[in-house]
Amino acid sequence: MSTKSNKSTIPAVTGQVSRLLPYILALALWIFLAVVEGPVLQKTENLSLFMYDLTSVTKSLSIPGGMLGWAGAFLTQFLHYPWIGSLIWILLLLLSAKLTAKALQIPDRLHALAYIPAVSAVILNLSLGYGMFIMREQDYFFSTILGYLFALVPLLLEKRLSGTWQTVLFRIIWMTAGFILAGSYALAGMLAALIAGLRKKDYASSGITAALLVLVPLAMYSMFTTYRLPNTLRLGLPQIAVEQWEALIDIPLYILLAYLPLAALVPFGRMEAKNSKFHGLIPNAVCYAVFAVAVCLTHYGEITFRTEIAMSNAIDGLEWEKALDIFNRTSKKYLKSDARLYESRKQKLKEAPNSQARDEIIVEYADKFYQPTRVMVLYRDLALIKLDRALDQAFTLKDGYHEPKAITLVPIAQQAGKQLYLHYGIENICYRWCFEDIVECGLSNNALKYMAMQAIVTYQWDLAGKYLDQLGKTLFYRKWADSQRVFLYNPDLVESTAPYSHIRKLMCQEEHMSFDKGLSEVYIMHQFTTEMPQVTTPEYDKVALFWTMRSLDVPRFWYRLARYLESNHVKSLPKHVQEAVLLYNTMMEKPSSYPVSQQAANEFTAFQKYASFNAIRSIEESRYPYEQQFGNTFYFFYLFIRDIAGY
Amino acid sequence: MAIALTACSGGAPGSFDKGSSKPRIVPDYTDVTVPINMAPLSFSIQEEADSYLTVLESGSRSISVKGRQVSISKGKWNSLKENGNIKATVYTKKGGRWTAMQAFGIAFSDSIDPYISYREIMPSVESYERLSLVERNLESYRTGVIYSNSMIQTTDNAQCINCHHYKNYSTDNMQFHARQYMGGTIMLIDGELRKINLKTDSTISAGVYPAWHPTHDYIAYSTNQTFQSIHSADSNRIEVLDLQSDLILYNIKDNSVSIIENDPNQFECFPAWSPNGRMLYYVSAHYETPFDDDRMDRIFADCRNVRYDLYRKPFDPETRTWGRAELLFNASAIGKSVTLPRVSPDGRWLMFAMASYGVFHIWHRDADLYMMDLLDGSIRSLDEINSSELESYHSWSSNGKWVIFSTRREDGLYTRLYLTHLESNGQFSKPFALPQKDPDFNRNYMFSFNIPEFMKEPVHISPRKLASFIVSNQASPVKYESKREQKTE
Repeated sequence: MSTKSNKSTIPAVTGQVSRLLPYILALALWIFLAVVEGPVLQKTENLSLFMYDLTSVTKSLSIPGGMLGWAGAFLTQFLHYPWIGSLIWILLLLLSAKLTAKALQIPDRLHALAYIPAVSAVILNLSLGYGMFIMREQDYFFSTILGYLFALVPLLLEKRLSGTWQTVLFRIIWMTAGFILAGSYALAGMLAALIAGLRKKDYASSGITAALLVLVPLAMYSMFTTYRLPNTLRLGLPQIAVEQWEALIDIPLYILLAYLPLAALVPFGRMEAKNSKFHGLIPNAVCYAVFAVAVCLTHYGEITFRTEIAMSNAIDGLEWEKALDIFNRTSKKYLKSDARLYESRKQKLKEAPNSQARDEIIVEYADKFYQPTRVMVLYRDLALIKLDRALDQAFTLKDGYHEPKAITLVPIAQQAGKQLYLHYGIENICYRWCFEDIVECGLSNNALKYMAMQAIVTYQWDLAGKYLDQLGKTLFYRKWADSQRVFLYNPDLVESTAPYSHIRKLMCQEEHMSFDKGLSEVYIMHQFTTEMPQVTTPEYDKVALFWTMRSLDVPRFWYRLARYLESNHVKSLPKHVQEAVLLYNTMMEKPSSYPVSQQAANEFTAFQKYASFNAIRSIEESRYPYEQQFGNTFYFFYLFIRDIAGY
Repeated sequence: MAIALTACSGGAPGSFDKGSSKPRIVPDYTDVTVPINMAPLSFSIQEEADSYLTVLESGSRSISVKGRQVSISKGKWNSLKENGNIKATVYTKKGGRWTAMQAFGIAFSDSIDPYISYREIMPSVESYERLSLVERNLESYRTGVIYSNSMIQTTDNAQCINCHHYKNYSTDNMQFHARQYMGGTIMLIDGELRKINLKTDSTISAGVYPAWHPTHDYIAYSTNQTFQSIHSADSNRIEVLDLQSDLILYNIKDNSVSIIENDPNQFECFPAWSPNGRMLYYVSAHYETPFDDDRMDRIFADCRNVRYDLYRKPFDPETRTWGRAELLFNASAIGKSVTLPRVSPDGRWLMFAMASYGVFHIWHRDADLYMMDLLDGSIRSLDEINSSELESYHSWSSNGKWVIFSTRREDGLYTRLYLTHLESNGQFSKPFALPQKDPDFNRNYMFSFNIPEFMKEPVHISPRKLASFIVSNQASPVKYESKREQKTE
């Protein structure tokens, strides 16, 4: 009796386990998205725009598939709260699998196959990395799965239709409206319906459907003027602005699009009768394992990327301390691993038979030590400047040049230009990058916000009002827009209130023609190092001194220091300035007499002593040990950090 | 003090106080003169109130519209205008009391060409992925794309489109340039499409700013080596300058170009024909600097000293011979720079844009419209239509009664189209924004409209046909006809 009962419970239990697996994975994915990817999701939302107005609806109808983007943008706004947005997305993924299984009659023992489209959508969204800054429209996060759900409609609905002519009528209506609303997804869905029809030997409706599949896109092509013919099969799909990146999104997209027509070829319905002892646990588990591995392998997991994004979000919110904290937390994560690396390198160097082998080991290890990306450094310096601590702390923090892993480097200007130029008071270039962004990637909350701020800080009240009006039509930026209206027509308030007051004080550049050529760091350095405005503010002189120190330009340092001391009445020189004075004095025939503290002098003496016993053979070799001793000084920066972003 | 009155006509409140001012409305259509065949004027009331009522009266006909936004159907608008000019009264209700604000008028005058075309573009610096040539029916709000670069360009191959232009307001003969990807000058000659490359070894570039000869098969073009840069601090933001520019004449029949003016120390630009085609107006800046690697840097650094004067040059279209160029207005002598001369269809007036320097006044905040009386050479600033922001590209309607011009008066950045009527005394009526169905359209729209051109009819060739033609045809070369051969003065 009990044996019999055990035998019957095994399939039941394994069946439940098998069915539970995707929900367990979905839960894990949700937690991962909300906790780990939260800042990236918030940035995704920040780069999108959904306005509650009729214009955006009509605009979405200007291109087939545009409505999908509209719906995608509607849901993307909920990523503002990553827990909510990601939950909605995951529920849609689960719904897509549920409906896929129903539409294709996929048997339980193979139900994992119904998750292939959902997994494709996950891979697309999680593999993008820096690609998020060059996506043509920022609704991709949701529009892909929405499009797929749309494609399922014919397979699901047609089961309820009776007779060929009802089916044909439905297909004509659906194909025409569906193509306008969902573009290529409508074609994929209809192709799947056609194939399913052929399998049922419904040749009449299949023939008409085949004709529809050709004629409707051609008819639409002559009606719409917003796309090229070869792009017909891409309508409604996410697009990216740089050709080299296309494959990254195309592969998961084409899997998703091809899935339904291909799956429609398989007679899943007839497989139902077959029974299995483990209720498909093993094949399903294998499938889920493959999916999990595929997602993990394709996920863009660079910690520096996530740090950049989190810092960027903090800067968007003017949370300068938070931005610094994020930077430091990432640096700290690598303290131990860097120490281990150094020990391992030391060991290998000891064992190296000759100098050539030593050099090879040095090179091998050079890139393994943690370095921040230039965007991280730029954000950090900006935060320190806004907190008025740059001249005391900037060179105490980690510096370097970790090149982001990306198909092609996305220019810093495109990623961070709006923020950097606005807050450094380089307003016309900020304007430039706001517009480059919206022309390339569409209007976004982010662009509108920076355009509004740029207009406020340059006293273009009507223009600022225009942008604030647009943000006023959004759900999550309305409040911010309202908070900015007090500045309109109120230059005194702008002059006296953060963040505008500090930006205004940095706007000292004299008029000349100037072009950043997309090289943000070089340009900002140039602005504050080589430009010599006659009329400056204490704040400008401070920032100019900081950037001149970064530039390692000794003659200009003395000039900037004099200007700084003239306008900033300081009791003692900031820490890094003292270090620079001590270092640069050693290069002068007649050292300057700027006062430095005894402590700074002692530390510099210690540094000189250390250097006399530890010759620097190469930057790569000596950087780490020097950093351990003097990594918080300007002279360490002077000797070892030569990095500047060339992108 | 408000006086309680009783309404006497269609739909006005039973009793109301009388306000002392006219309502603030957007767009500002108070006391404007509009073409008799223009689409209805929709506007939005900017007064703060609990309720709004607008009564539009014309003769015995009266229409009332509730709400802040006043939009009237074409049928009702037509029924009003059949009775003559409109008197509009806005009533606002606050705390249960209605107030009648002072009425304003909308007068009807001469008809206008039924279509315009313009380019939709974002006021961006480098990127131009979303560009369209658009035609607009002025009798309704209907717009249509003539051609859009999104119909051709690929991810890495962008296409710029510009300088649409028509012969005598007719779309059977039109042209525009497509630059970069699949580029060429696209011409429709009596209905036949051509794609040509106007660049020759003897000219500095392909044709740029066009002027179609009104009676013969010629098009005058400027040729320009144009660059742009950004101002570090100036509110003008962007500077577009020529490092070189000349004038050429394209002979459509011979498919040949010849030089009109090519003095290396003169930057000739913006040709415009007189209505009889016997005079070519243009602007030119005298600027001397060596042709070396630093030329661009020098010109940009000195851009505030690049100033254009107004010239004209006689032309005999039969023999294709040119007379001597005549300096018509020495703007540089007074520290000004003239661009975009356009002669009225009756040949009496020459309107131009003028700012303190440069050639690309769409980025010069001080640019205003001026007009020269060609009878006596007198020039006046068109103060009645200029604003504190820039005014630039302007076109005369075919009957010479209307001018459409581009201006950034609404927000200082987005170029909007305004219309004005030329009165018999040579003054212009109060300018008004091109009517849109949604009165808040200009406030919400994120594209600029530039190069407004009147058209007597819509473009007959479909956008897809244009795109397909551009894709499937290489730009054919033109012959160069040396200046020496034709100069006979």
